[in-house]
Amino acid sequence: MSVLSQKIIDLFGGRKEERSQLSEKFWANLKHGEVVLEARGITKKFPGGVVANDHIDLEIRAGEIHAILGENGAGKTTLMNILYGLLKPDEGEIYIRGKKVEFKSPLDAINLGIGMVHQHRKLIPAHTALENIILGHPKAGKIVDIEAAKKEVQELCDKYGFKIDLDAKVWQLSAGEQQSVEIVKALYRGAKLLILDEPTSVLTPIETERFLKSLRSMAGTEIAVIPFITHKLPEVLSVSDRVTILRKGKVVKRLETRKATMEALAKYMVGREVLFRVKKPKVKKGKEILRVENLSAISDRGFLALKGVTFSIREGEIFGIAGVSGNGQQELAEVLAGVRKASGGKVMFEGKDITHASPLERLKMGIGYIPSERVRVGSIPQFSLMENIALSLYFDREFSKWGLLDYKRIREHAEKVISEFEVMAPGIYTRAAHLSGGNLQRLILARTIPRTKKLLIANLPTQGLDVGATEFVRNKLLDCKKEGMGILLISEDLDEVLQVSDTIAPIYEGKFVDIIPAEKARKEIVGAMMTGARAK
Amino acid sequence: MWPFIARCLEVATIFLLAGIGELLDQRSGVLNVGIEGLMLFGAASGFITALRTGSLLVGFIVGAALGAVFGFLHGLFSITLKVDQVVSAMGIWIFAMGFVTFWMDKYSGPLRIPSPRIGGLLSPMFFFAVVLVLVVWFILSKTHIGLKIRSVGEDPSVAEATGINVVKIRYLCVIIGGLLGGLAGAFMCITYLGLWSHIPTQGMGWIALALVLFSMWRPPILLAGALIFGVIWQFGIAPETLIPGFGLPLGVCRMFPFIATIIVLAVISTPRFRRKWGLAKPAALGQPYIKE
Ligand SMILES: Nc1ncnc2c1ncn2[C@@H]1O[C@H](COP(=O)(O)OP(=O)(O)OP(=O)(O)O)[C@@H](O)[C@H]1O
Ligand SMILES: [Mg+2]
Repeated sequence: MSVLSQKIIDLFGGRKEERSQLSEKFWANLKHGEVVLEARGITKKFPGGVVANDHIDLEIRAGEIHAILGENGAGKTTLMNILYGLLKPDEGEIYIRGKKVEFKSPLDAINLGIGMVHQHRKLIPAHTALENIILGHPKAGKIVDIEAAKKEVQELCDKYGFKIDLDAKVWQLSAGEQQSVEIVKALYRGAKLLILDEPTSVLTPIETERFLKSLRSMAGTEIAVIPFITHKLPEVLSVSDRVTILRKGKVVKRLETRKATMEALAKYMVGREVLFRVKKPKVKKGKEILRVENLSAISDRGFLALKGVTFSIREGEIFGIAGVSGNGQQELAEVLAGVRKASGGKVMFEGKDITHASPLERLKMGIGYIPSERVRVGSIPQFSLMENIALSLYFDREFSKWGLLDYKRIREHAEKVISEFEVMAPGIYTRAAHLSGGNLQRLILARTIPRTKKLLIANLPTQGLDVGATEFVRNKLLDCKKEGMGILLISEDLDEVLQVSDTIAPIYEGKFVDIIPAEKARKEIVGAMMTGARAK
Repeated sequence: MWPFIARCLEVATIFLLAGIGELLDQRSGVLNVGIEGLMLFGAASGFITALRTGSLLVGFIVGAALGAVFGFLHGLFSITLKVDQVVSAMGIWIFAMGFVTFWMDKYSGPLRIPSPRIGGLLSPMFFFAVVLVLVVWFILSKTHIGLKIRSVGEDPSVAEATGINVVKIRYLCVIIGGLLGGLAGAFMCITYLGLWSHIPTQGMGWIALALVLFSMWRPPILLAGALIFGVIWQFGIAPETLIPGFGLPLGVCRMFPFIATIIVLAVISTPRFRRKWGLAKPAALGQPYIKE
């Protein structure tokens, strides 16, 4: 009888409760170091002729941290989507604990104990952390016993060293805490294999450190972790056991981390030497181009996020704002670009008051804006690359006559900037949605920088870019400076700010802690100021 | 005095039944602005059934069932076919106005079957509605299915990724919402009015909709709002029972609930309220769920 009922359950894919027990049985007696996942000959071609994955072999062991590196567009996200059941491979097989599996949807992967934390958070902001963690899991029961669930989740958090306020609404949590919520959610669902896509790109330095510690304590048990990291090589070196490096869809190198150096990793990724420093050219500063007086702004959540900042930028100057995300720099960039209203203060551009000018008026004045949210704000995914580029041209006499777009001119321009910025894509008619994360960022730069004449507002311009591309963007910023533009650079990467800026302003809770010329800025001091410490 | 209060509570019952259904609906992310239409269908079918069979209970059941059918239809349009939710619901409302008039106005007149009333004053349906509000509140805040409903209303793609069947949950909610809208209409026509006259709902469905928005999607606030509007509505119909010799013409009095609605909607649109309201609003409300 029970055999029969089991058969029936299998036939219908199993009820949820049964399935979760199945995965527990499946993972019983897991030993440290055992091969848990093996992928053989994974190949994925996309329409347009891109071979995103070209016969990739991968082997993951229980309890290891296995980093996967590769430059933008190397095929990391594609590989991960295949392992998680979001994409079907054209060729190749996946084995989990020696058993061949085929995923029809992520749900199949989840039920087999694979958890994934996406680069873009998948949480419900209006719900509490606890609600997000238990959502949809049969363990939570029909009538949710909040206290019992909280106890269980809290135990998980303690075990791996995650600090989360479980009763807080997710939108109130920092990026780091939100990520912890995602990981704990996967663990609560019994994940034995955790896939993390660029896990540290949105974390502050302190959060990163805490996060890496938790990774290690997870690897101390049998859980295998696969972080996909694009560019933060020091993290790879400090935390991982083994590294697999992809280039143009192929595995170019597998090695044990203790035998690796930063330079070697970068070379395998990019295929050439990468300098981790850029040279700052000497440029004579010209006249004042932007003057901001006591500017303040209200955030989407309704509180005062920017609390009165005053500064000025001159021609040929890079003004770097260093700060942990969420301290008002986002609002500042938006106010300067004209997409958010100032709640007080004044913005003067070449002596004219532009506090209330529209974004289009600012574009026409020669102000360029690189937004930090490249999918939501920076591009229209359903448009082709050319159309996305045309968004910054359509109003220009050079590209349109009598309201009609001159497509020939636009195409020429698009082709020129796409090759100049090395956007990897089959052609200018490819949809932006099909670009890899880093290539999308290049597209936005290719649209903005060549059209900017006087002032560039760059909000996190190197976020998600590989080492080679980061170097490229920093050099581009310096080129702009050489041409006499003023540049406002907002970054969380202190090294980046120190490397390229002429003037540095650490921002904390909506105010500049100080404004320091680059020659006098010391890394430790600026780093401390980013967390609110005042200069003596 | 007591008869007046009982009448107020019966009006509140109508708002509660329709409102709690709509609230559930909206919590799952589906906006159904056509409650007025659902109520009209519920009222018409419930009234004619009660008239023909002589049974009030069968009337309620048929009214609720037809409401559920139109709730399902709204689901079919807005969930499966991904029509704009406002367009679909407005279509149902306009269809209801025309069809019900054509179908029912020849039966205009009293039902002549007295509804059971506790102490000869108040229909037991009131207590049913209050219990229903508490049940919905409990389900939404304390149960797993409630959490799933809220998640679907906040972000269906996240819910889907967690293994929740978004389409199933949304259908469940629109059908229950429709059922309660139909029941509200049947109750209004059979018990509260006890007669059919041209478009008997007279905008009650729209007030219920406004109450849901005003409640910030919380059942207890909806309960309070329904009681207040019950009093305003009843006062507008029979002001002299409360204030003998009340001087304003009846037409003006009838406007009270709608003026109050406009005031409420204006108040919740002020910047201070709007922010709170924006946070409480189910984030995916009104958006069809399109899988990638
Ligand atoms: N749906 C798609 N259709 C067509 N091409 C695609 C699609 N998805 C990805 N690609 C292409 O496949 C290649 C690999 O993309 P993938 O997103 O895996 O890169 P990645 O290694 O994650 O890069 P990044 O570090 O920039 O995120 C890219 O050239 C990309 O343009
Ligand atoms: Mg990627």
